[in-house]
Amino acid sequence: MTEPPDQPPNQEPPWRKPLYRPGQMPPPPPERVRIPRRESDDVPSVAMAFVGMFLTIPISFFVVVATYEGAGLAPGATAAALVLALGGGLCFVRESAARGLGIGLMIGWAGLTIISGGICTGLHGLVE
Amino acid sequence: MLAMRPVLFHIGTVGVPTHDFFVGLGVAIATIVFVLEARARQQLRAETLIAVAGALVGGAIGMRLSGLLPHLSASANPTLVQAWEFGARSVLGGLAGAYVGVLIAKKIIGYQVRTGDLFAPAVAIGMAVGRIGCLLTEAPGRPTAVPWGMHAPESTPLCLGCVTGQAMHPSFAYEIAFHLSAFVAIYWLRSRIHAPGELFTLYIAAYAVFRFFVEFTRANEHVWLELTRPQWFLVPGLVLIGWRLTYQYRKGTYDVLLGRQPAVALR
Repeated sequence: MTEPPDQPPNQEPPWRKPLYRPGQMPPPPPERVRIPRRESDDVPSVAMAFVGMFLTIPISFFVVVATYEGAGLAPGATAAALVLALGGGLCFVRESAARGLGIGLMIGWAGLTIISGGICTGLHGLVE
Repeated sequence: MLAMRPVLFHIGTVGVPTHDFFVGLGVAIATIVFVLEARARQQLRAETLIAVAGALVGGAIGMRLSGLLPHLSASANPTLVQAWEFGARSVLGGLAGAYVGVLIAKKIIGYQVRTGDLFAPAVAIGMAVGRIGCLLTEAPGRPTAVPWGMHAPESTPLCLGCVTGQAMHPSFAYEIAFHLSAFVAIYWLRSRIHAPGELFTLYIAAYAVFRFFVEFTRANEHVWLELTRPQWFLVPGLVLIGWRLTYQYRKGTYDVLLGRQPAVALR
């Protein structure tokens, strides 16, 4: 069984020691620590992905309005084809921001479909 | 009596549909949770976002195609175009489509890192929030005599219990409670399950079992042998999940969770 180490002689417990000697200024407060961005974070892709998500809405509505000729799938399907083709194509671009934009367009199309049931995204027929 | 709210609020003269609002809110919250989890695991990169795109695109398509085969008789089923155009919005179809979508997206870009652990908490919290919309707009469940049965107005669509004034199971409330519990459990399991992607497998397994049994309280139509379409959809999935869990159990994946000592290699 090990024994505890011997205490050094004439040493007061830590809580009894004064923090500063008389006349000594306290140290300055530490600088505000900025959490460094991890090297693994792909900021351009993520940022442009959010841009692409929101761009899907006006693109889809514009295409639907421009091609609307009555009830059916055609306007929404046209919007879906444009968004998915553009988004899918950009996903293979090497440039990080462009790839993020393409990812965002696809995510935006899918999110709009899930929320709206496919209105203006080609998964639900428009009515008169 | 729970007041159904088909329209949650108005922006000017435009009414915001309650169900769509909470689905959108669920997707937004799930996205935030996903990004935070990806940052914590240092996986926030373009490849992960492509997996997300695959999940959502696959989920949107699966959600729609789930209305393709509602009947055993082929002649009674809609055509592909009809199912595509006016089909259902099924959660189970969406989840299955999302899983396939992630696999396809990762295959296309050659990304082999397991991403299930990122999706698990996001899907759980997103489902909990999305089901609030169902609670406020859809038929609660089957008639029941339990003390916590709820009533809903006669105007609730596809709700026979509402017409007769009977108390009904609050099946969507059960599901909200499940997903919130699963969300907490996932965070508790994060430090105890180390096999990549296993958190998502456990979540899906738990939801499949829960959904099979909660269907007995839902107001869905019985199609064969007193089981509903979602239950029949889940039967093959439950078999696969059972096999998968047994396989992982024998590998020792759950040893820390179960308090078992890891097996000692024999010389």
